[in-house]
Amino acid sequence: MSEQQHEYAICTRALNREFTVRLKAEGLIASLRNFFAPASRTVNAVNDLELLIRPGDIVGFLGPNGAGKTTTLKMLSGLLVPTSGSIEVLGYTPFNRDHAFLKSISLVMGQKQNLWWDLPPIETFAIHRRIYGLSDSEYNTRVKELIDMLEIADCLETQTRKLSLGQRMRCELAVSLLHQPQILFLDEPTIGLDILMQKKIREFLLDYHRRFKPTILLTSHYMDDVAALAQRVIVIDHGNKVFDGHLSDLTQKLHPEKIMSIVLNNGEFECKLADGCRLIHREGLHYRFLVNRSRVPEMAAKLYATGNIADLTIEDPPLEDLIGQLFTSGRQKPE
Amino acid sequence: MRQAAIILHLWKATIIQAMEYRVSFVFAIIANFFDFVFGLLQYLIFFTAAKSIAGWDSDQMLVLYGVFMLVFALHFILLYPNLVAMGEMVNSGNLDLLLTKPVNTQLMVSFRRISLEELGSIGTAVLLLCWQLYRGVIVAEPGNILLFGVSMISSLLLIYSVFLLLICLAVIMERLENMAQLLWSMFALCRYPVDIYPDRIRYAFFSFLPVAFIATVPATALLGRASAMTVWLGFAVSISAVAACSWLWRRTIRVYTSAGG
Repeated sequence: MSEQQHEYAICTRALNREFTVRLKAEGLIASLRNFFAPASRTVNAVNDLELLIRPGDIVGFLGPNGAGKTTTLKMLSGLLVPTSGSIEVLGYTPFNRDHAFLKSISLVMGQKQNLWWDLPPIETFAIHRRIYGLSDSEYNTRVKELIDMLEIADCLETQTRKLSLGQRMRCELAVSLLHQPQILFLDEPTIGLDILMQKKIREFLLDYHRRFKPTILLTSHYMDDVAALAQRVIVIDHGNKVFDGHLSDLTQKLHPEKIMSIVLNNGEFECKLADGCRLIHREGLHYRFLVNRSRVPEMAAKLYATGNIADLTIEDPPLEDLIGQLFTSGRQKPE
Repeated sequence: MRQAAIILHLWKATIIQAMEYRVSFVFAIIANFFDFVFGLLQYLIFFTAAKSIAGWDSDQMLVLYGVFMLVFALHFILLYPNLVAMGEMVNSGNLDLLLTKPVNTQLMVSFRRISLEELGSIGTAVLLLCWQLYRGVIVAEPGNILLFGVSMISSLLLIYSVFLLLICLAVIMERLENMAQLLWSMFALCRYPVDIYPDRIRYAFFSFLPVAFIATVPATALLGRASAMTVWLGFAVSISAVAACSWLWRRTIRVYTSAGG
Protein backbone atom coordinates (compact mmCIF):
# COMPACT_ATOMS: atom_id res chain seq x y z
CA MET A 1 0.00 0.00 0.00
CA SER A 2 2.80 2.41 0.90
CA GLU A 3 4.60 1.90 -2.42
CA GLN A 4 1.54 3.03 -4.31
CA GLN A 5 1.58 6.68 -5.40
CA HIS A 6 -1.49 8.37 -3.96
CA GLU A 7 -3.10 11.46 -5.42
CA TYR A 8 -3.14 12.91 -1.93
CA ALA A 9 -0.50 12.26 0.70
CA ILE A 10 -2.95 13.45 3.35
CA CYS A 11 -6.71 13.26 3.05
CA THR A 12 -9.16 13.92 5.85
CA ARG A 13 -12.94 14.04 5.64
CA ALA A 14 -15.23 15.54 8.28
CA LEU A 15 -12.50 15.02 10.86
CA ASN A 16 -13.55 15.69 14.44
CA ARG A 17 -11.81 15.36 17.75
CA GLU A 18 -13.41 16.03 21.08
CA PHE A 19 -11.78 16.20 24.49
CA THR A 20 -13.37 16.06 27.88
CA VAL A 21 -12.03 18.86 30.01
CA ARG A 22 -12.36 18.89 33.79
CA LEU A 23 -13.79 22.14 35.10
CA LYS A 24 -12.39 23.61 38.29
CA ALA A 25 -13.95 26.55 40.03
CA GLU A 26 -11.89 28.77 42.32
CA GLY A 27 -11.58 28.15 46.04
CA LEU A 28 -11.32 25.30 48.53
CA ILE A 29 -15.07 24.55 48.77
CA ALA A 30 -15.35 24.37 44.99
CA SER A 31 -12.29 22.10 44.89
CA LEU A 32 -13.84 19.80 47.51
CA ARG A 33 -17.11 19.70 45.60
CA ASN A 34 -15.18 18.99 42.44
CA PHE A 35 -13.23 16.22 44.17
CA PHE A 36 -16.43 14.27 44.94
CA ALA A 37 -18.47 15.31 41.90
CA PRO A 38 -16.11 16.33 39.14
CA ALA A 39 -17.64 18.60 36.54
CA SER A 40 -16.49 18.45 32.97
CA ARG A 41 -17.37 19.73 29.55
CA THR A 42 -16.65 18.55 26.05
CA VAL A 43 -14.41 20.66 23.88
CA ASN A 44 -14.35 20.27 20.12
CA ALA A 45 -10.65 20.65 19.33
CA VAL A 46 -11.14 19.92 15.63
CA ASN A 47 -14.41 20.36 13.72
CA ASP A 48 -15.25 18.79 10.37
CA LEU A 49 -11.76 19.35 9.06
CA GLU A 50 -11.25 18.61 5.38
CA LEU A 51 -7.63 18.44 4.27
CA LEU A 52 -6.29 17.44 0.88
CA ILE A 53 -2.52 17.68 0.57
CA ARG A 54 -0.61 16.42 -2.44
CA PRO A 55 2.67 14.52 -2.15
CA GLY A 56 5.66 16.83 -1.99
CA ASP A 57 3.71 19.94 -0.92
CA ILE A 58 4.82 22.16 1.92
CA VAL A 59 1.80 23.40 3.81
CA GLY A 60 1.81 25.91 6.65
CA PHE A 61 -0.71 25.19 9.33
CA LEU A 62 -1.61 28.38 11.15
CA GLY A 63 -3.82 29.30 14.04
CA PRO A 64 -3.73 30.87 17.48
CA ASN A 65 -2.95 28.81 20.59
CA GLY A 66 -5.60 26.17 21.14
CA ALA A 67 -6.83 26.35 17.55
CA GLY A 68 -6.40 22.61 17.05
CA LYS A 69 -3.17 22.56 15.02
CA THR A 70 -1.23 20.17 17.23
CA THR A 71 -4.30 17.99 17.78
CA THR A 72 -4.60 17.66 14.01
CA LEU A 73 -0.91 16.80 13.65
CA LYS A 74 -1.29 14.19 16.39
CA MET A 75 -4.25 12.60 14.62
CA LEU A 76 -2.36 12.60 11.32
CA SER A 77 0.64 10.93 12.94
CA GLY A 78 -1.48 8.25 14.64
CA LEU A 79 -1.13 9.47 18.22
CA LEU A 80 -4.77 10.40 18.68
CA VAL A 81 -7.83 8.54 17.50
CA PRO A 82 -10.41 10.89 15.93
CA THR A 83 -13.84 11.12 17.51
CA SER A 84 -15.38 10.89 14.04
CA GLY A 85 -14.48 11.36 10.39
CA SER A 86 -11.83 9.69 8.30
CA ILE A 87 -8.10 10.15 7.80
CA GLU A 88 -5.81 8.66 5.21
CA VAL A 89 -2.12 9.37 5.24
CA LEU A 90 -0.20 7.75 2.38
CA GLY A 91 -3.16 5.38 2.10
CA TYR A 92 -2.92 4.29 5.74
CA THR A 93 -5.27 4.93 8.62
CA PRO A 94 -2.80 6.52 11.05
CA PHE A 95 -4.26 5.30 14.35
CA ASN A 96 -3.89 1.67 13.22
CA ARG A 97 -0.19 2.39 13.67
CA ASP A 98 1.07 0.06 10.94
CA HIS A 99 4.83 -0.12 11.13
CA ALA A 100 5.05 0.59 7.40
CA PHE A 101 3.13 3.82 8.00
CA LEU A 102 5.24 4.82 11.00
CA LYS A 103 8.39 4.24 8.94
CA SER A 104 7.07 6.72 6.36
CA ILE A 105 6.48 9.64 8.70
CA SER A 106 8.37 11.73 11.16
CA LEU A 107 7.03 14.02 13.86
CA VAL A 108 9.31 16.80 15.04
CA MET A 109 8.07 18.74 18.04
CA GLY A 110 10.06 21.82 18.98
CA GLN A 111 9.38 21.31 22.68
CA LYS A 112 9.97 17.56 22.87
CA GLN A 113 13.03 15.62 22.02
CA ASN A 114 14.15 12.29 20.68
CA LEU A 115 17.75 12.85 21.72
CA TRP A 116 18.93 11.12 24.89
CA TRP A 117 19.81 13.90 27.29
CA ASP A 118 22.98 12.41 28.77
CA LEU A 119 24.32 10.83 25.60
CA PRO A 120 25.95 12.35 22.52
CA PRO A 121 23.54 12.64 19.54
CA ILE A 122 25.50 9.99 17.63
CA GLU A 123 24.24 7.39 20.16
CA THR A 124 20.63 8.40 19.49
CA PHE A 125 21.38 8.15 15.76
CA ALA A 126 22.54 4.56 16.31
CA ILE A 127 19.35 3.72 18.24
CA HIS A 128 17.20 5.16 15.44
CA ARG A 129 19.18 3.20 12.92
CA ARG A 130 18.05 0.02 14.72
CA ILE A 131 14.47 1.26 15.11
CA TYR A 132 14.12 1.97 11.39
CA GLY A 133 16.19 -1.03 10.31
CA LEU A 134 18.64 0.95 8.17
CA SER A 135 21.46 -0.90 6.44
CA ASP A 136 25.08 0.17 6.98
CA SER A 137 25.28 1.93 3.65
CA GLU A 138 21.91 3.71 4.06
CA TYR A 139 22.86 4.83 7.54
CA ASN A 140 26.33 6.04 6.62
CA THR A 141 25.18 7.90 3.50
CA ARG A 142 22.28 9.60 5.27
CA VAL A 143 24.25 10.55 8.36
CA LYS A 144 26.94 12.10 6.20
CA GLU A 145 24.38 14.02 4.13
CA LEU A 146 22.56 15.34 7.18
CA ILE A 147 25.79 16.27 8.97
CA ASP A 148 26.84 18.30 5.95
CA MET A 149 23.48 19.94 5.42
CA LEU A 150 22.93 20.81 9.08
CA GLU A 151 26.59 21.53 9.89
CA ILE A 152 26.54 19.39 13.03
CA ALA A 153 29.86 17.54 12.69
CA ASP A 154 31.26 19.26 15.77
CA CYS A 155 28.36 18.42 18.11
CA LEU A 156 27.80 14.73 17.39
CA GLU A 157 30.08 13.50 20.11
CA THR A 158 29.13 16.00 22.80
CA GLN A 159 26.46 15.05 25.33
CA THR A 160 23.11 16.49 24.32
CA ARG A 161 22.74 18.33 27.63
CA LYS A 162 25.87 20.33 26.81
CA LEU A 163 24.66 21.48 23.38
CA SER A 164 23.08 24.85 22.69
CA LEU A 165 19.37 24.96 21.81
CA GLY A 166 20.22 25.57 18.16
CA GLN A 167 22.65 22.66 18.00
CA ARG A 168 20.11 20.43 19.73
CA MET A 169 17.37 21.35 17.29
CA ARG A 170 19.63 20.66 14.30
CA CYS A 171 20.58 17.26 15.76
CA GLU A 172 16.91 16.62 16.50
CA LEU A 173 16.07 17.28 12.85
CA ALA A 174 18.88 14.99 11.74
CA VAL A 175 17.69 12.14 13.92
CA SER A 176 14.09 12.62 12.74
CA LEU A 177 15.13 12.52 9.10
CA LEU A 178 17.50 9.54 9.23
CA HIS A 179 14.84 7.21 7.83
CA GLN A 180 13.99 9.68 5.04
CA PRO A 181 10.27 10.02 5.82
CA GLN A 182 7.79 10.68 3.04
CA ILE A 183 5.83 12.95 5.35
CA LEU A 184 7.30 15.33 7.86
CA PHE A 185 5.11 16.83 10.56
CA LEU A 186 6.86 19.85 12.03
CA ASP A 187 5.32 21.31 15.16
CA GLU A 188 7.00 24.61 16.04
CA PRO A 189 10.46 23.49 14.89
CA THR A 190 12.07 26.88 15.48
CA ILE A 191 10.50 27.70 18.84
CA GLY A 192 12.89 29.46 21.19
CA LEU A 193 15.66 29.80 18.59
CA ASP A 194 17.33 33.09 17.75
CA ILE A 195 16.71 34.73 14.39
CA LEU A 196 19.92 33.44 12.80
CA MET A 197 19.23 29.88 13.86
CA GLN A 198 15.61 30.12 12.68
CA LYS A 199 16.91 31.21 9.29
CA LYS A 200 19.41 28.35 9.23
CA ILE A 201 16.68 25.80 10.01
CA ARG A 202 14.42 27.26 7.32
CA GLU A 203 17.21 27.13 4.75
CA PHE A 204 17.93 23.54 5.70
CA LEU A 205 14.27 22.55 5.36
CA LEU A 206 14.04 24.17 1.93
CA ASP A 207 17.23 22.44 0.84
CA TYR A 208 16.05 19.11 2.24
CA HIS A 209 12.71 19.47 0.49
CA ARG A 210 14.41 20.35 -2.80
CA ARG A 211 16.53 17.20 -2.59
CA PHE A 212 14.10 14.63 -1.20
CA LYS A 213 10.63 16.10 -1.86
CA PRO A 214 8.86 14.99 1.34
CA THR A 215 5.39 16.30 2.08
CA ILE A 216 5.76 18.80 4.91
CA LEU A 217 3.04 20.02 7.23
CA LEU A 218 4.38 22.83 9.37
CA THR A 219 2.95 24.67 12.34
CA SER A 220 4.81 27.70 13.61
CA HIS A 221 4.14 30.89 15.47
CA TYR A 222 6.94 32.52 13.51
CA MET A 223 5.33 33.81 10.37
CA ASP A 224 8.73 34.09 8.72
CA ASP A 225 8.90 30.28 8.84
CA VAL A 226 5.60 30.00 7.05
CA ALA A 227 6.36 32.75 4.54
CA ALA A 228 9.75 31.22 3.70
CA LEU A 229 8.66 27.59 3.48
CA ALA A 230 5.01 27.16 2.64
CA GLN A 231 3.47 27.50 -0.77
CA ARG A 232 0.07 27.00 0.76
CA VAL A 233 -1.39 27.84 4.14
CA ILE A 234 -4.29 26.39 6.04
CA VAL A 235 -5.62 28.56 8.82
CA ILE A 236 -7.72 27.06 11.60
CA ASP A 237 -9.38 28.69 14.53
CA HIS A 238 -11.34 26.94 17.28
CA GLY A 239 -10.95 23.73 15.31
CA ASN A 240 -12.57 25.17 12.16
CA LYS A 241 -10.76 25.73 8.91
CA VAL A 242 -11.05 29.41 8.06
CA PHE A 243 -8.69 29.61 5.09
CA ASP A 244 -7.00 27.21 2.70
CA GLY A 245 -5.00 28.59 -0.17
CA HIS A 246 -1.91 30.44 -1.28
CA LEU A 247 -0.32 32.84 1.14
CA SER A 248 -0.57 35.64 -1.45
CA ASP A 249 -4.34 35.06 -1.74
CA LEU A 250 -4.68 35.31 2.02
CA THR A 251 -2.70 38.53 2.03
CA GLN A 252 -4.67 39.99 -0.84
CA LYS A 253 -8.03 39.12 0.66
CA LEU A 254 -7.24 40.34 4.13
CA HIS A 255 -5.26 43.36 3.13
CA PRO A 256 -6.11 44.89 -0.23
CA GLU A 257 -3.26 47.38 0.21
CA LYS A 258 0.51 47.24 0.05
CA ILE A 259 2.94 49.26 2.09
CA MET A 260 5.01 51.70 0.04
CA SER A 261 8.04 53.44 1.58
CA ILE A 262 9.77 56.33 -0.12
CA VAL A 263 12.68 58.60 0.68
CA LEU A 264 12.56 61.95 -1.10
CA ASN A 265 15.59 63.91 -2.23
CA ASN A 266 13.99 67.12 -0.96
CA GLY A 267 10.66 68.87 -0.53
CA GLU A 268 7.40 67.23 0.48
CA PHE A 269 5.10 64.48 -0.72
CA GLU A 270 1.37 64.89 -0.63
CA CYS A 271 -0.39 61.59 0.07
CA LYS A 272 -3.91 61.86 -1.36
CA LEU A 273 -6.74 59.51 -0.64
CA ALA A 274 -7.98 60.18 -4.14
CA ASP A 275 -4.83 58.43 -5.45
CA GLY A 276 -5.65 55.37 -3.28
CA CYS A 277 -2.94 56.42 -0.85
CA ARG A 278 -3.13 56.57 2.98
CA LEU A 279 -0.19 57.93 5.01
CA ILE A 280 0.74 55.81 8.03
CA HIS A 281 4.09 57.30 9.06
CA ARG A 282 6.34 60.22 8.23
CA GLU A 283 9.81 61.06 9.51
CA GLY A 284 11.65 63.84 7.68
CA LEU A 285 11.96 62.87 4.04
CA HIS A 286 10.92 59.26 4.77
CA TYR A 287 7.23 58.44 4.12
CA ARG A 288 5.34 55.16 4.68
CA PHE A 289 1.88 54.82 3.21
CA LEU A 290 -0.69 52.25 2.17
CA VAL A 291 -1.60 51.99 -1.50
CA ASN A 292 -4.40 50.00 -3.02
CA ARG A 293 -2.83 46.95 -4.70
CA SER A 294 -4.38 47.73 -8.08
CA ARG A 295 -2.85 51.21 -8.05
CA VAL A 296 0.68 50.29 -6.93
CA PRO A 297 2.27 50.27 -10.45
CA GLU A 298 0.61 53.54 -11.35
CA MET A 299 1.69 55.16 -8.09
CA ALA A 300 5.28 53.92 -8.42
CA ALA A 301 5.50 55.26 -11.99
CA LYS A 302 4.04 58.58 -10.89
CA LEU A 303 6.56 58.90 -8.07
CA TYR A 304 9.57 58.05 -10.25
CA ALA A 305 8.32 60.54 -12.82
CA THR A 306 8.76 63.36 -10.29
CA GLY A 307 12.53 62.70 -10.32
CA ASN A 308 12.55 63.42 -6.58
CA ILE A 309 12.72 59.83 -5.29
CA ALA A 310 15.96 58.68 -3.55
CA ASP A 311 14.55 55.27 -2.61
CA LEU A 312 11.30 53.34 -3.03
CA THR A 313 10.26 49.99 -1.57
CA ILE A 314 6.99 48.07 -1.79
CA GLU A 315 6.07 45.33 0.68
CA ASP A 316 3.19 43.31 2.00
CA PRO A 317 1.99 44.02 5.53
CA PRO A 318 3.66 41.73 8.11
CA LEU A 319 2.10 38.27 8.14
CA GLU A 320 1.69 38.45 11.92
CA ASP A 321 -0.60 41.47 11.50
CA LEU A 322 -2.64 39.72 8.83
CA ILE A 323 -3.13 36.58 10.87
CA GLY A 324 -3.93 38.65 13.95
CA GLN A 325 -6.48 40.54 11.88
CA LEU A 326 -7.97 37.26 10.68
CA PHE A 327 -8.55 36.05 14.23
CA THR A 328 -9.79 39.32 15.67
CA SER A 329 -12.08 40.58 12.91
CA GLY A 330 -15.15 38.78 14.16
CA ARG A 331 -13.73 35.41 13.06
CA GLN A 332 -15.17 36.04 9.63
CA LYS A 333 -14.18 33.80 6.78
CA PRO A 334 -12.19 35.52 4.04
CA GLU A 335 -13.67 33.20 1.45
CA MET B 1 14.34 -10.39 16.86
CA ARG B 2 14.37 -6.79 15.62
CA GLN B 3 12.61 -5.66 18.81
CA ALA B 4 15.14 -7.58 20.93
CA ALA B 5 18.02 -5.94 19.03
CA ILE B 6 16.49 -2.51 19.61
CA ILE B 7 16.07 -3.21 23.33
CA LEU B 8 19.65 -4.46 23.62
CA HIS B 9 20.83 -1.28 21.94
CA LEU B 10 18.73 0.83 24.30
CA TRP B 11 20.20 -1.06 27.27
CA LYS B 12 23.67 -0.32 25.95
CA ALA B 13 22.75 3.37 25.78
CA THR B 14 21.35 3.27 29.35
CA ILE B 15 24.54 1.68 30.65
CA ILE B 16 26.67 4.30 28.88
CA GLN B 17 24.41 6.93 30.43
CA ALA B 18 24.76 5.44 33.92
CA MET B 19 28.54 5.47 33.54
CA GLU B 20 28.32 9.25 33.09
CA TYR B 21 27.56 9.49 36.80
CA ARG B 22 30.21 7.13 38.13
CA VAL B 23 30.09 8.09 41.81
CA SER B 24 26.29 7.84 41.94
CA PHE B 25 26.49 4.46 40.17
CA VAL B 26 29.06 2.99 42.58
CA PHE B 27 27.27 4.46 45.62
CA ALA B 28 23.96 2.89 44.53
CA ILE B 29 25.60 -0.56 44.22
CA ILE B 30 27.09 -0.25 47.71
CA ALA B 31 23.78 1.01 49.20
CA ASN B 32 21.89 -1.89 47.65
CA PHE B 33 24.42 -4.37 49.01
CA PHE B 34 23.91 -3.01 52.54
CA ASP B 35 20.14 -3.12 52.02
CA PHE B 36 20.51 -6.83 51.31
CA VAL B 37 22.66 -7.39 54.39
CA PHE B 38 20.30 -5.47 56.71
CA GLY B 39 17.36 -7.48 55.35
CA LEU B 40 19.25 -10.66 56.13
CA LEU B 41 20.00 -9.48 59.69
CA GLN B 42 16.30 -8.78 60.20
CA TYR B 43 15.48 -12.44 59.51
CA LEU B 44 18.27 -13.68 61.76
CA ILE B 45 17.05 -11.46 64.63
CA PHE B 46 13.57 -13.05 64.40
CA PHE B 47 15.11 -16.46 64.94
CA THR B 48 16.95 -15.48 68.12
CA ALA B 49 13.47 -15.45 69.74
CA ALA B 50 11.79 -18.37 67.92
CA LYS B 51 12.90 -21.62 66.32
CA SER B 52 10.32 -21.39 63.54
CA ILE B 53 7.67 -19.02 62.29
CA ALA B 54 4.50 -20.56 60.82
CA GLY B 55 6.39 -23.75 60.05
CA TRP B 56 9.41 -22.00 58.50
CA ASP B 57 12.76 -22.40 60.30
CA SER B 58 15.64 -19.98 59.83
CA ASP B 59 17.30 -21.94 57.03
CA GLN B 60 14.08 -22.18 55.07
CA MET B 61 13.42 -18.52 55.69
CA LEU B 62 16.84 -17.69 54.21
CA VAL B 63 15.85 -19.60 51.07
CA LEU B 64 12.70 -17.48 50.90
CA TYR B 65 14.79 -14.34 51.39
CA GLY B 66 17.18 -15.43 48.61
CA VAL B 67 14.27 -16.00 46.23
CA PHE B 68 12.61 -12.74 47.25
CA MET B 69 15.81 -10.75 46.69
CA LEU B 70 16.37 -12.43 43.33
CA VAL B 71 12.89 -11.47 42.16
CA PHE B 72 13.11 -7.99 43.66
CA ALA B 73 16.51 -7.33 42.09
CA LEU B 74 15.34 -8.53 38.67
CA HIS B 75 12.36 -6.19 38.94
CA PHE B 76 14.68 -3.38 40.00
CA ILE B 77 17.03 -3.98 37.09
CA LEU B 78 14.47 -4.52 34.33
CA LEU B 79 11.24 -2.76 35.29
CA TYR B 80 11.76 -0.14 37.95
CA PRO B 81 13.70 2.39 35.82
CA ASN B 82 10.97 2.16 33.18
CA LEU B 83 8.27 2.75 35.78
CA VAL B 84 10.03 5.89 36.97
CA ALA B 85 10.66 7.06 33.40
CA MET B 86 7.02 6.50 32.43
CA GLY B 87 5.65 9.13 34.80
CA GLU B 88 8.07 11.67 33.33
CA MET B 89 7.31 10.60 29.76
CA VAL B 90 3.57 11.05 30.23
CA ASN B 91 3.91 14.41 31.96
CA SER B 92 6.39 15.83 29.46
CA GLY B 93 4.59 14.43 26.43
CA ASN B 94 7.72 12.60 25.26
CA LEU B 95 5.59 9.45 25.08
CA ASP B 96 4.23 10.97 21.86
CA LEU B 97 7.57 10.55 20.16
CA LEU B 98 7.88 6.93 21.26
CA LEU B 99 4.38 6.14 19.98
CA THR B 100 5.26 7.42 16.50
CA LYS B 101 8.11 4.90 16.15
CA PRO B 102 7.70 1.61 14.27
CA VAL B 103 8.30 -0.51 17.35
CA ASN B 104 6.37 -2.74 19.72
CA THR B 105 5.34 0.02 22.11
CA GLN B 106 4.53 -2.33 24.99
CA LEU B 107 8.04 -3.78 24.91
CA MET B 108 9.58 -0.35 24.55
CA VAL B 109 7.79 1.24 27.51
CA SER B 110 8.52 -1.88 29.56
CA PHE B 111 12.16 -2.50 28.83
CA ARG B 112 13.76 0.54 27.21
CA ARG B 113 15.81 1.31 30.29
CA ILE B 114 17.85 -0.91 32.56
CA SER B 115 19.46 -0.24 35.92
CA LEU B 116 22.50 -2.25 36.93
CA GLU B 117 22.54 -0.95 40.49
CA GLU B 118 20.94 -4.15 41.85
CA LEU B 119 23.37 -6.48 40.09
CA GLY B 120 25.17 -6.90 43.40
CA SER B 121 21.93 -8.05 45.05
CA ILE B 122 21.45 -10.72 42.40
CA GLY B 123 24.97 -11.96 43.06
CA THR B 124 24.45 -12.08 46.83
CA ALA B 125 21.00 -13.70 46.48
CA VAL B 126 22.46 -16.41 44.23
CA LEU B 127 25.34 -16.92 46.69
CA LEU B 128 22.87 -17.28 49.56
CA LEU B 129 20.83 -19.85 47.60
CA CYS B 130 24.00 -21.75 46.58
CA TRP B 131 25.06 -21.84 50.23
CA GLN B 132 21.66 -23.27 51.22
CA LEU B 133 21.98 -25.81 48.40
CA TYR B 134 25.43 -26.81 49.67
CA ARG B 135 24.03 -27.21 53.20
CA GLY B 136 21.26 -29.46 51.90
CA VAL B 137 18.41 -27.09 52.79
CA ILE B 138 17.47 -26.84 49.10
CA VAL B 139 16.29 -30.17 47.73
CA ALA B 140 17.98 -30.31 44.31
CA GLU B 141 15.83 -32.90 42.54
CA PRO B 142 14.82 -32.51 38.87
CA GLY B 143 11.11 -32.25 39.74
CA ASN B 144 11.76 -29.47 42.26
CA ILE B 145 14.07 -27.62 39.88
CA LEU B 146 11.38 -27.75 37.17
CA LEU B 147 8.72 -26.48 39.59
CA PHE B 148 11.10 -23.76 40.78
CA GLY B 149 11.79 -22.69 37.17
CA VAL B 150 8.07 -22.55 36.35
CA SER B 151 7.20 -20.73 39.56
CA MET B 152 10.00 -18.17 39.00
CA ILE B 153 8.66 -17.47 35.51
CA SER B 154 5.15 -17.07 37.01
CA SER B 155 6.53 -14.77 39.68
CA LEU B 156 8.27 -12.50 37.14
CA LEU B 157 5.21 -12.49 34.86
CA LEU B 158 2.93 -11.50 37.75
CA ILE B 159 5.22 -8.63 38.69
CA TYR B 160 5.35 -7.62 35.04
CA SER B 161 1.56 -7.57 34.81
CA VAL B 162 1.29 -5.31 37.89
CA PHE B 163 3.96 -3.09 36.34
CA LEU B 164 2.04 -2.92 33.06
CA LEU B 165 -1.18 -2.16 34.91
CA LEU B 166 0.53 0.79 36.63
CA ILE B 167 1.96 1.98 33.31
CA CYS B 168 -1.54 1.93 31.79
CA LEU B 169 -2.95 3.82 34.78
CA ALA B 170 -0.23 6.44 34.41
CA VAL B 171 -1.20 6.99 30.78
CA ILE B 172 -4.96 6.98 31.41
CA MET B 173 -4.82 9.26 34.45
CA GLU B 174 -2.09 11.42 32.85
CA ARG B 175 -0.42 11.75 36.21
CA LEU B 176 0.26 8.97 38.66
CA GLU B 177 3.04 9.70 41.05
CA ASN B 178 4.58 7.16 43.41
CA MET B 179 3.72 4.29 41.10
CA ALA B 180 6.82 2.50 42.35
CA GLN B 181 5.46 2.80 45.88
CA LEU B 182 2.43 0.70 44.93
CA LEU B 183 4.67 -1.99 43.50
CA TRP B 184 6.91 -1.91 46.52
CA SER B 185 3.94 -2.29 48.88
CA MET B 186 3.19 -5.50 47.05
CA PHE B 187 6.81 -6.58 47.54
CA ALA B 188 6.51 -5.88 51.27
CA LEU B 189 3.78 -8.55 51.41
CA CYS B 190 6.03 -11.04 49.60
CA ARG B 191 8.97 -10.69 51.95
CA TYR B 192 7.53 -13.25 54.40
CA PRO B 193 5.87 -16.62 53.77
CA VAL B 194 2.11 -16.35 53.24
CA ASP B 195 1.70 -19.03 55.93
CA ILE B 196 2.17 -16.35 58.59
CA TYR B 197 -1.18 -14.78 57.64
CA PRO B 198 -4.64 -15.93 58.83
CA ASP B 199 -6.51 -18.36 56.53
CA ARG B 200 -8.71 -15.81 54.80
CA ILE B 201 -5.85 -13.51 53.94
CA ARG B 202 -3.79 -16.48 52.81
CA TYR B 203 -6.65 -17.50 50.52
CA ALA B 204 -6.75 -13.97 49.11
CA PHE B 205 -3.00 -14.13 48.48
CA PHE B 206 -3.51 -17.24 46.36
CA SER B 207 -6.52 -15.84 44.47
CA PHE B 208 -7.56 -12.18 44.20
CA LEU B 209 -4.15 -10.76 45.05
CA PRO B 210 -1.82 -13.57 44.07
CA VAL B 211 1.29 -12.39 45.92
CA ALA B 212 1.88 -15.94 47.21
CA PHE B 213 3.19 -16.86 43.75
CA ILE B 214 5.89 -14.20 43.83
CA ALA B 215 8.27 -15.57 46.49
CA THR B 216 6.57 -18.13 48.73
CA VAL B 217 5.70 -20.65 45.99
CA PRO B 218 9.15 -20.58 44.28
CA ALA B 219 10.82 -20.93 47.71
CA THR B 220 8.62 -23.91 48.64
CA ALA B 221 9.55 -25.47 45.27
CA LEU B 222 13.24 -25.20 46.19
CA LEU B 223 12.50 -26.71 49.60
CA GLY B 224 10.70 -29.64 47.97
CA ARG B 225 7.36 -28.69 49.56
CA ALA B 226 5.49 -27.23 46.60
CA SER B 227 2.38 -28.79 45.17
CA ALA B 228 2.68 -29.17 41.40
CA MET B 229 -0.94 -28.09 41.03
CA THR B 230 -0.30 -24.82 42.89
CA VAL B 231 2.75 -24.11 40.73
CA TRP B 232 0.89 -24.71 37.45
CA LEU B 233 -2.09 -22.75 38.75
CA GLY B 234 0.28 -19.85 39.40
CA PHE B 235 1.63 -20.20 35.88
CA ALA B 236 -1.87 -20.07 34.41
CA VAL B 237 -2.77 -17.05 36.56
CA SER B 238 0.39 -15.19 35.53
CA ILE B 239 -0.07 -15.88 31.80
CA SER B 240 -3.69 -14.70 32.04
CA ALA B 241 -2.62 -11.59 33.95
CA VAL B 242 -0.01 -10.64 31.34
CA ALA B 243 -2.49 -11.26 28.50
CA ALA B 244 -5.12 -9.08 30.23
CA CYS B 245 -2.62 -6.27 30.87
CA SER B 246 -1.32 -6.43 27.27
CA TRP B 247 -4.89 -6.01 26.07
CA LEU B 248 -5.29 -3.09 28.48
CA TRP B 249 -2.13 -1.47 27.08
CA ARG B 250 -3.47 -1.70 23.52
CA ARG B 251 -6.73 -0.11 24.67
CA THR B 252 -4.82 2.51 26.63
CA ILE B 253 -2.87 3.83 23.66
CA ARG B 254 -6.12 4.16 21.75
CA VAL B 255 -7.60 6.41 24.43
CA TYR B 256 -4.33 8.25 25.03
CA THR B 257 -4.99 11.99 24.86
CA SER B 258 -1.36 13.15 24.83
CA ALA B 259 -0.07 16.13 26.77
CA GLY B 260 -0.90 19.60 25.44
CA GLY B 261 -2.03 20.47 21.96
